[in-house]
Amino acid sequence: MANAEKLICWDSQDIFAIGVRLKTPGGHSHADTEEPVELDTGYGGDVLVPWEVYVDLDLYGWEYPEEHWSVGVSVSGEKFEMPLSRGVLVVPGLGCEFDVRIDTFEGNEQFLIGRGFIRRHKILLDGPGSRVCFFAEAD
Amino acid sequence: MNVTIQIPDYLQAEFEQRARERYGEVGPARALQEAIALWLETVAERDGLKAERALNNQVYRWLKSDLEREYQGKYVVIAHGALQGVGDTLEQVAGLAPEARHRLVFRVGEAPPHRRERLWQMQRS
Repeated sequence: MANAEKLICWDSQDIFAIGVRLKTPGGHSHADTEEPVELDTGYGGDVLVPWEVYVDLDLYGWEYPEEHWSVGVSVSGEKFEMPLSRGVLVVPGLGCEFDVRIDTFEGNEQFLIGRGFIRRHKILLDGPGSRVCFFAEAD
Repeated sequence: MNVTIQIPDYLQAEFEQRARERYGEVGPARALQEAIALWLETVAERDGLKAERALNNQVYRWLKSDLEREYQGKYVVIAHGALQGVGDTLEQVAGLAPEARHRLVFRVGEAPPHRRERLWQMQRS
C-alpha cells in the first residue's frame, strides 16, 4: 500500500521559504531554532549558505575535493569558486533531516534552498494562499 | 608609528565613545591596536587554512586513482596532508582527525554535479 502524505505549511507573505536548521554531519548546529530559508529555483545546488555560516559551522572540516566544486559567475562575468561541503538540513516542522550538499563563496550573504533539494521533494508554492507546503510521508 | 586614517563620522563617534567607556582616555588607541592584532590573527588563520586545504587537495589528486581502484564506494577522510582512514559509512570516518582545521570527507566515486551558477542577484563584498 502506498504511504499516505501529510502537508506541512509555512506562512509566506513575500518570499517562499521553509523553516529549517542547518547542521554538520557531526551534529554542530548553526542555530537552536528554525529559520525561514528561501526556496530559489534559479539556484541549482541543494543549499547555498552565507560565508559567515560556512565559517562558523567549520564546514571546512566536511569539504568535497576542489574538483567537485561549482563555479559562480557574477553579473559582471567574474568567475569564482564555490567551496562544497556536506551537511544536514533539519526541518523541525516535519521532524525530518536530509543530507545535503552545501555551497558558499567568499562574501556571500544569501541563504537559499535550490533545485538540487527541491527536485528530491514535493513542495507546493501556494501564492494565493500565501504559504509554502511540504508534502511529507505520514508515519 | 603615526598613521592618519579617515573613517566615517558616525563610525568614529561610536568607536571613540565605546573605546573610552572601556579603557578611559587612551581607549581609542588601545582599541585600534587590538583591532589590528585581531585582523592579523584572522588573516594568519585564514592563510593557514587555505594552505591546509591546498595540501589536502594535492594529496587527494595523488591518491585518487589508488582510492578509486581499492576503495570504490567507501568513505574517506584526508587531513593534515594524509589519508586518515577509510570506512563503509560516513559515521565510521566522521570522527577522524577532528582537530584538523581542514578535512576532505567524501565517498569514493561520488561525483556531485559540477554546476556553473549565474548568481545575478548576489552581492560580493
